[in-house]
Amino acid sequence: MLSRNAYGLYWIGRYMERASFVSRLIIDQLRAIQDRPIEDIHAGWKRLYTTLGTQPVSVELDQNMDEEHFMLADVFTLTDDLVFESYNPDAVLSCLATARENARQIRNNITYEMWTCLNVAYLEMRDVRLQDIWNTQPEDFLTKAALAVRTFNGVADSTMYRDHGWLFLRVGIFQERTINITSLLRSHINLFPTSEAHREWNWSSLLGICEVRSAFRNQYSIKFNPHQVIEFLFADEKLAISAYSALTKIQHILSELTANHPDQKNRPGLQIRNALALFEDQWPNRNKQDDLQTLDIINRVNHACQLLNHDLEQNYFFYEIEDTPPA
Amino acid sequence: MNIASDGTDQNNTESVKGLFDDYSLDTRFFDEMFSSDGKPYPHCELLWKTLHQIPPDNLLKMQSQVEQSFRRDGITFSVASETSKLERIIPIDCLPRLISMKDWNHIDSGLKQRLKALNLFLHDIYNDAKILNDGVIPIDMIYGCPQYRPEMRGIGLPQGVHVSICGTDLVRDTDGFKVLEDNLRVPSGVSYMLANRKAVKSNLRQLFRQYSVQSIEQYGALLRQTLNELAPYNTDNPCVVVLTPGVYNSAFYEHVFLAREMGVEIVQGQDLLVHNGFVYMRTTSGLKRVDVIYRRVDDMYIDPLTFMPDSQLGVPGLFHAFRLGNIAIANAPGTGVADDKSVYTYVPDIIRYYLAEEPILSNVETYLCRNPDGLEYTLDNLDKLVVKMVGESGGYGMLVGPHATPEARDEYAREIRNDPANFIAQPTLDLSRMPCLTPHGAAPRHVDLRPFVLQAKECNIVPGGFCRVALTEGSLVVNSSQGGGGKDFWVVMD
Repeated sequence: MLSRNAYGLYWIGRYMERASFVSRLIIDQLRAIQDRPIEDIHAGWKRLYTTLGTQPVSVELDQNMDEEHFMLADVFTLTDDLVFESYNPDAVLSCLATARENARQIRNNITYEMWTCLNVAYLEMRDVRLQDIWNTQPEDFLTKAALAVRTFNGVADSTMYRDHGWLFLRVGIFQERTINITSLLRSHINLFPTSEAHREWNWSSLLGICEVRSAFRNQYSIKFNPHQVIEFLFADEKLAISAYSALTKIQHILSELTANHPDQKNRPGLQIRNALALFEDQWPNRNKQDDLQTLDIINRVNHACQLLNHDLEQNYFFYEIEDTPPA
Repeated sequence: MNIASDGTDQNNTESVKGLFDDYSLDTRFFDEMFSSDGKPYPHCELLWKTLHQIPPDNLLKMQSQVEQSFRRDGITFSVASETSKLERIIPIDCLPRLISMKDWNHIDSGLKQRLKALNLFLHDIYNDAKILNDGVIPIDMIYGCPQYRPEMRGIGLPQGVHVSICGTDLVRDTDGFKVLEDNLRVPSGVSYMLANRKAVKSNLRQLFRQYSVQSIEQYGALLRQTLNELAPYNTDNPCVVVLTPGVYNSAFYEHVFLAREMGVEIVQGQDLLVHNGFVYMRTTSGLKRVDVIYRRVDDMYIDPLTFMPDSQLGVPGLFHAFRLGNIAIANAPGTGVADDKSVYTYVPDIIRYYLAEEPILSNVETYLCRNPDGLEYTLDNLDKLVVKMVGESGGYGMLVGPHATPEARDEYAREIRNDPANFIAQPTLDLSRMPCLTPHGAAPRHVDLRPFVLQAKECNIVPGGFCRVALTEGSLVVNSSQGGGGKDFWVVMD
């Protein structure tokens, strides 16, 4: 497959996954403003922005904490920033627009059904403004965005030929997923250390963002024990959204990609293999009460995933041209 | 003039109020559906009857659905002059334009004859230049043409084919079909021909079946076969790519569409590289050799080492590989000289010179401002003529005399006097008209036609073309960049 097309598919995977993730983060936050104390709402925004690694434009999160009016005004601004702001690359609509632009450039490498699914979702959302939906159900809009991503993934799964394009689309999805879940866990643990008295709601909301609350209840309990929540989201091999599960899939894809190229100089994925080894060696043996140890492993997994970009670029997208190309 | 619903009595007071009740004929223009007595031509009768059975509101609804589907499918284009990256659809008129098989056969023969002569002409002017030495065409017109590429001199192409893909603009007036323009560089519009067919076929299913409309869906396969035949080495499955300037090119949708139809990669300059005189593309499995490039990039941009040095769209060294015969490029560089608007006037002579035949399709009467007589006539009759710059296309740089203000005509006259060789003039064309759907029923609109001719070992034309329509009442400008739309074009049995 043409390298540029593979690169486009990889970024479609990443941006679609990000659109879904940011949508779910905001849905959780919008639900929080309906019945949560103001400190929780404020902490929620902090968790959200630190997870994304950004700051809201022109809004200081530490201001106006005591004044509900200002806080409510900020909710509108922050939501707008995260959903519609075209200068924010992580905004839901920006993610969909970027994914669609990538799709537009490589349209002959995605199926007609994938293009239609993505294009229709984008066209339906691009002219909406927050003020149009704010007084009704802003969550519905975001639910629709998350659903569009799921539909797109399903359509890709059922229509795409299993060539390199498929593998790069998937590696983008799982890389983004691992980065997102580890960033979220890191932000959450920093804000709500497990050793401190905790509100169950905060840990429940973490599961809500990942849409695995009932799966957790089935596997563990109706009580949201912080250690169990972390274990579930980070290391459960049967949970599709867990970091371990996503990382395993990345490893599998990288093996497939390199299978036909044993002579590849810089075999990609060493960082991923090392990260997976952490789940075998260090994760079970850490002191669960020590958040720093937990965070260290989460950070290392996150970092390994961040480095994967470079590995893929060097090996598949922008590799150096050898002196003698194949005949 | 009203046309009765039974098509026989124009003054029938019992006529049903319908689609064609307010349709008017004008004897100055050939009507594609109705003869001068108001009756539909025999091959249009079934269409006319069927349209009467469909309530106009349903037709409008159908039209709106088709436009929505175009938007959904991303069948869009962008306009070069627009700074925004807005994606626009080419509006489609759902009423198809029909042509009889007899008329089509005439067009088919005429286009094949024309392309054959033009390929011989291109081969000649880049090699022995006999036609110039024999004084058939002024030497300075060719060597002074901005589209002439001296770099092409002495290059012998396989089968002598310089132009593999040609889109010829045809107009019809009361005298019949005429060639308005040959597009020999990177003709576009074929994707809209196919998209319009798909849309109209699915909405007028029964009618389509009853008519046994000639198929055009094989265009992608024919194009691939044509390009395969150009491959420099005898390989079973040559690697063909479509070279595009990128997503912001107005015809990007078409580039993607054609690559998809042919099952080949669409590449940009950055995806290709030249090594030891061969062209490769960068894939996830390493470099892969390319045999044929269907380029949708203008000559001057394809290789910064040979043509425009600051081009970001091309491939350094591509022309060198082409000269060595290691890559085929369709269309070959330098074909633009044969579709220059001045050279156009000589095409009938070119046909006679190389083929010793009379042209099957005639040209539109054209005045060359480079000639003193032509210049004088043009300046004296600016209010009656359409004046064009020889190197422009797409309706740009054009003066439509009868519709221009006196000030605009004076300004244009000054430009003509400053550089007469850069202008040609043609009478205002009486483009034929065809019923188009409007909120008030069917109304006549001017149309033209661009069929596509493919040439490698054989010459192939799918029986169809991109029918462009000037959607604004009275307008003669059919270009999509200037408010034109499209129609499906059916070749049907007599």
